[in-house]
Amino acid sequence: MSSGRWARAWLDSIAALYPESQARLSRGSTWVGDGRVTDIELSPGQISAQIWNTDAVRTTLHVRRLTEPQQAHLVEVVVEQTATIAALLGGELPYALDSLILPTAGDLSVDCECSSGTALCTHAAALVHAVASLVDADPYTLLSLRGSSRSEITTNVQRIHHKRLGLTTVDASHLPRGADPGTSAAAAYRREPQPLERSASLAAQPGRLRPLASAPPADTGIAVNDLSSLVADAAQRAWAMLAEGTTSGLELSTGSDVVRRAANGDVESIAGRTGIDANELAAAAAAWRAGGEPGFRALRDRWQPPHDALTPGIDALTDLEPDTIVKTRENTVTVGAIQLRLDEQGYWWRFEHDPQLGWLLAAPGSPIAAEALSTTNPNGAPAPNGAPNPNGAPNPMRATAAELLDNAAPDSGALELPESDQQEFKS
Amino acid sequence: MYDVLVSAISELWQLNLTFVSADPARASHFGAWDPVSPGGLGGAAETTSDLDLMLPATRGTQRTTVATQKISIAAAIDSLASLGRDQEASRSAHAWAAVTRAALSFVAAGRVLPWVSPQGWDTWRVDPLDASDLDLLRAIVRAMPAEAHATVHGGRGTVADPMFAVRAACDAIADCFIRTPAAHRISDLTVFANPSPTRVPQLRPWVNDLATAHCATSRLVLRMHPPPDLLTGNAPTCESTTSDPDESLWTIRFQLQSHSDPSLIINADDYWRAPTEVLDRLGRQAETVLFTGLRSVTRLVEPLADLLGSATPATATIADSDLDALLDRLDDLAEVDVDVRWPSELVAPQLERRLVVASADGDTTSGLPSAMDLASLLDVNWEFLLDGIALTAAELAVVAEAKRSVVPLRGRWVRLDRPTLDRLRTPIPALTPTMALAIALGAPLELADEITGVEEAVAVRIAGSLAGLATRLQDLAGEREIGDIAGLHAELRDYQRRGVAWMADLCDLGFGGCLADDMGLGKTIQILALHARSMASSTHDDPSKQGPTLVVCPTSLMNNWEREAARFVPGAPVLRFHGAHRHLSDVTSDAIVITSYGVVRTDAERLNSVAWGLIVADEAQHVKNPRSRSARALREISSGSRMALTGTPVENKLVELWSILDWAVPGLLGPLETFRRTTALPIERDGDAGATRRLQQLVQPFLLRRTKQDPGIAPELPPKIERDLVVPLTPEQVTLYRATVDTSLAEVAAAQGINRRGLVLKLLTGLKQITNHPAQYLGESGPLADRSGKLEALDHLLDAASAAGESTLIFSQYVAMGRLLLDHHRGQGRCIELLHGGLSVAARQDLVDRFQAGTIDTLVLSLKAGGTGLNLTAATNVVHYDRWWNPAVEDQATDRAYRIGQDQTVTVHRLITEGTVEDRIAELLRNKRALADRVTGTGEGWIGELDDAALADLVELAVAS
Repeated sequence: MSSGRWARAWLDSIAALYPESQARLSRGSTWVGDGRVTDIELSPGQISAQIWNTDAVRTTLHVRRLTEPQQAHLVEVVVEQTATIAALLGGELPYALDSLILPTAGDLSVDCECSSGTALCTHAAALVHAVASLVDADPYTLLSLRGSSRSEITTNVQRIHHKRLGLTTVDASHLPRGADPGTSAAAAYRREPQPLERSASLAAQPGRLRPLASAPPADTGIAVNDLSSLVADAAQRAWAMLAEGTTSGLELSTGSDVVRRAANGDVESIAGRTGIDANELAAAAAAWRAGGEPGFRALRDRWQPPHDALTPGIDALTDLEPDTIVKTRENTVTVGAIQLRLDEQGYWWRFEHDPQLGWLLAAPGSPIAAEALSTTNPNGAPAPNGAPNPNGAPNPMRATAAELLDNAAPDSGALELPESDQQEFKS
Repeated sequence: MYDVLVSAISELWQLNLTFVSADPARASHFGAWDPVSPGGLGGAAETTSDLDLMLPATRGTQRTTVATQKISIAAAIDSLASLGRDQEASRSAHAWAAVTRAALSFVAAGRVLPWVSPQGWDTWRVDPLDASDLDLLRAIVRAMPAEAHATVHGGRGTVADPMFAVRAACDAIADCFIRTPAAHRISDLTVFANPSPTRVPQLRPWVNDLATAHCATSRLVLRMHPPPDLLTGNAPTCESTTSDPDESLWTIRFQLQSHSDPSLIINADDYWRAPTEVLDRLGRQAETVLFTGLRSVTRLVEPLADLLGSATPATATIADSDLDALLDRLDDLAEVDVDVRWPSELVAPQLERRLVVASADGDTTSGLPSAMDLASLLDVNWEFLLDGIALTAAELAVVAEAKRSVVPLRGRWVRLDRPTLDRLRTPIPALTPTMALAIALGAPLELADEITGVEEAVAVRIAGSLAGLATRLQDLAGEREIGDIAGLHAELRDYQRRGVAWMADLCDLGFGGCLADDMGLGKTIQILALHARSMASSTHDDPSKQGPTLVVCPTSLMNNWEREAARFVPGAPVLRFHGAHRHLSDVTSDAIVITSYGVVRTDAERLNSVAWGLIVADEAQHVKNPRSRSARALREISSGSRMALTGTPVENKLVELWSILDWAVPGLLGPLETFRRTTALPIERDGDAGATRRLQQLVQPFLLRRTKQDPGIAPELPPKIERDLVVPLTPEQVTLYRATVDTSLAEVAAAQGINRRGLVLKLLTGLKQITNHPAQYLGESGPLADRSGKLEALDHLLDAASAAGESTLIFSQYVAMGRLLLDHHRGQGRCIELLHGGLSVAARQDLVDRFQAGTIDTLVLSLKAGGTGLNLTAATNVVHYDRWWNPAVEDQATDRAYRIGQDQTVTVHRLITEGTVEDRIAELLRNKRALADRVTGTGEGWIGELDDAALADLVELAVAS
């Protein structure tokens, strides 16, 4: 039930326009609560949605757009009083504008696919309440509906206010800190740089995005939680770079970066969003936690080593389980549920078979096969990002330098991982 | 391919590096160009672009087109972040490296905000920054050379402002850094997460809101002026006593104050009158701050609800009786950054808090607590201050019971905002005694705020005997000299007396330390003197304080310790805890027990069953890796005090310093991770002067280092220090030695006359070669490692010499041995050469010149006794790998290094294998001058005249069981 002042004013104005439809109006609010209103599309002068009852109909409310003189009048009203200017600058829609923004007779018409024939059918009533919810979240929805926008009205208010005050500065508000004043080149070259004997201070652990004073507008699809987790990941990587000398993670391929995030986060939801099989991603994430990117590569890559290369692994596993047969295939040596894999840098990795997830990397790698069998995974906690290789071997598997030295190429915008990236997860 | 380009990138840091900003920020880049030939880059420069820069010209500066290698921000971040100040790079590259690290630290703290760029693209910016962050950036700007920001700006002869460039670079780095390759796949976000730019002008109002709320450059100030009757100095009352309405009105003046320059305060009046001027000085945003600030006031303070009714609000009034409504909302107003200022006679500044770290008097005669007592004597408490004077218990009670956010104290109102109230309730932190001592010595204390988790520095006051203890430790400084010690059969030099006194004082207080004198200055004898002192004093003081001394050292030095202990402190029983049948059952309280790091690794528990008075870790750099098993095992053994000995300057590698001092004085330097983050990295990577100073202050009482060049030391040192280094044989050498002796003695016994003499000489030669290295005896060229005790000892010596930057001469009678030494040490990466009789005069002179110049730091000489005059005065170390048994001949070889023109002390090391013929003869030479005088020529002829029994005594191997 919408409770904000503007939302109630909107509902009151609709009720005034359709006095016979009180009952239908109130039913409309339950329809919104039941989730029957979907696919809302808002554009200047109209708002439409899909309403679900026995069948789905598309309903549209047309609202007359404000004319130029009407918009100018809006601005005038705001500029008249400091209180309304203050309200506008503070992000609110001043209530003084209600009679100018809310629709009166002749401003509103309903267009519904249903065959009810009444002026305000229940579908439209539901849509009216949906608008009220939007208005609750952001009163400027009403202004957008009437063909204006918050930035437009703010700019104009400021323009006129400044004109009245006699203000003549250049507007540099688009620049975060004002305009670059420049400095004399000759003076700059004359100055002798002083030695820097300071360092950036680092807290005991990574920080987070501060609680934002205001939420992004509802129609942008930006969720504050997403911004927070993005910044949290960046903060953790930056902290590790400075405290532990790890790399930025920017050099990873897209697939590796997904695994890196999955290693520190929610595998299920990441699998869902990227379209990767959840079990495959879980195994990859476990490999990353145990051995960083090289561990993930050990999970993924198969190759044919030269003739004797597997001997140390065979020997080590034979020592472990003397009376069983050791099976070899490509770069793997297996006994029962334990497998040693040899990577192309000569490191051995121990995998253990999980009934649901397949082969899981169990511990950091080692150039000595016997050691790989005996080390334990020291990290129950999330692994470091991209690199360095926990065993110290060089990490050759990075994006090619060409990709790095150029500026990033524009993205196609597709939300799904391309086939090539998906291939990365088939081990 | 990537690795090649990685190294190519690091080469680029030798060139000048200029930042070129772009819109959106992540599209910015660095341009690398050659200052010598800015017109063209040599070599394979793949992505060049031309850039217009202002370069210095004959008169002033000139606009020049420069060919630059473009480096995107994403490519540069990793490499610049790890560019340490000790690496070779241009000044501008170092400056941008510092900016990169600063930007990363801001990202690490979460100080970023989403933004819409001037052209409407989605981007991130680094904001808001607090005063200390801005301080750091200003320091970086001061270190930045002009070429780093030399892009052409608008007007004639102007370039980009350096602070703007730095802020823009921080924005660019954050903008790139946040967008990892899969960021936009994983979250639902497209904008702000994917690398390609999106136009988002519709987000401008929202990001402007964020900027106003979080990055405002100014704030609204309500300046309160009291009604006339209160200016007589009485504290304001809650209820007005006067009935005259006019007289009980407070006036509020609205003002705007700049955040970056708090002295810049402008009346709101001026904004209405002359807005251009005001907004030019405070920035356009100040207007929004004024309006939204006033609006907040109208909503929060009911009596002021109408102040926006005026067309030009600049002042307001509030009745004294309504003041509560304002006072109760001060916290809420502070939350929206509205500051209320009161006349200081009426309202005091806020309470400050300080941690008082104190200790009661100890039991020692000086009243100072010893390390053990400190735990029970420590007293830690908070105190709260107003105007610098602590609150009494009664005043604290008033504060604790306050129901409102202001309390009357000492004739004024004192505000209790939420942070202050939280501070009043902070529990007392738990400090270990060593932490308390570290704080008393100047280490900063940071506590994490309970709610935000942010750490902040805490003011501290040291009191009681703790302050005295800190002062005492800082004064130790090695000034006092110990007097003569009973039971010590040695003459101590003055600086050694100071060293012993320093160690004695530290140990008496129950602390440990690190003696880091240069090699050759006599660390061994100083420790033995310390032991002798504790033996002497334990006879009449309480014996429970003293205990046996445990010396842990590398295996090759064990013999040496035994010998010197027997020689200098003959009254002390010396035991070796080593070998298969080792035991500790005979250890008395005045004993010296010698063991190796290897044994400590396996037998730490057994060793811990003895109540040691002192543990000495010789060549402590052996436990420089704090995670190694040796280091951890060593820590398990407890004792009254611990002294670490090392000849290498530990202050250069801070993690090693941590490892050594954390063993000697546990807890002094805090946990390793914190030490790395707050001290080691800032000092080693950034050269942070503040951190360097704090570390020196903290460590100074516990670290004593003298070098041979010290003005106080040098005159005391004899020109030549001689030491015999007794080393063990390896098992292979033992086998060969015994076999040779057995066979040859049998042959000798069966021969006579000249034949016999010949056989004896052959035996001697063989034994000498075996003790040198089995490979020399067997005619092999390798392998060399781990087969000879002398070679191992030589490795240690050369390590210590290079760490101290000293040059060394190694003498051997055998060219073959010389070649083996050359191969072995070359394989270890040393700059070593061999000078022998087969070289031409010119070749010899070339080697000598290079040695004197320092190009080579180690020279092996294999010359028959005599030889042409060579000037090798650059050497401060001489090693006689094998010996001429005629002292005069040996001295002559030594004197090649020590000559007129040599102004440094030369240390001569003589390697002697234990229990062998070398050992016996050395002893003979030392003890029997008569025999020495009889020796002529190469000095070995007389051996041929010994009878069988005497010969057997001389050559048979006596190895300690």
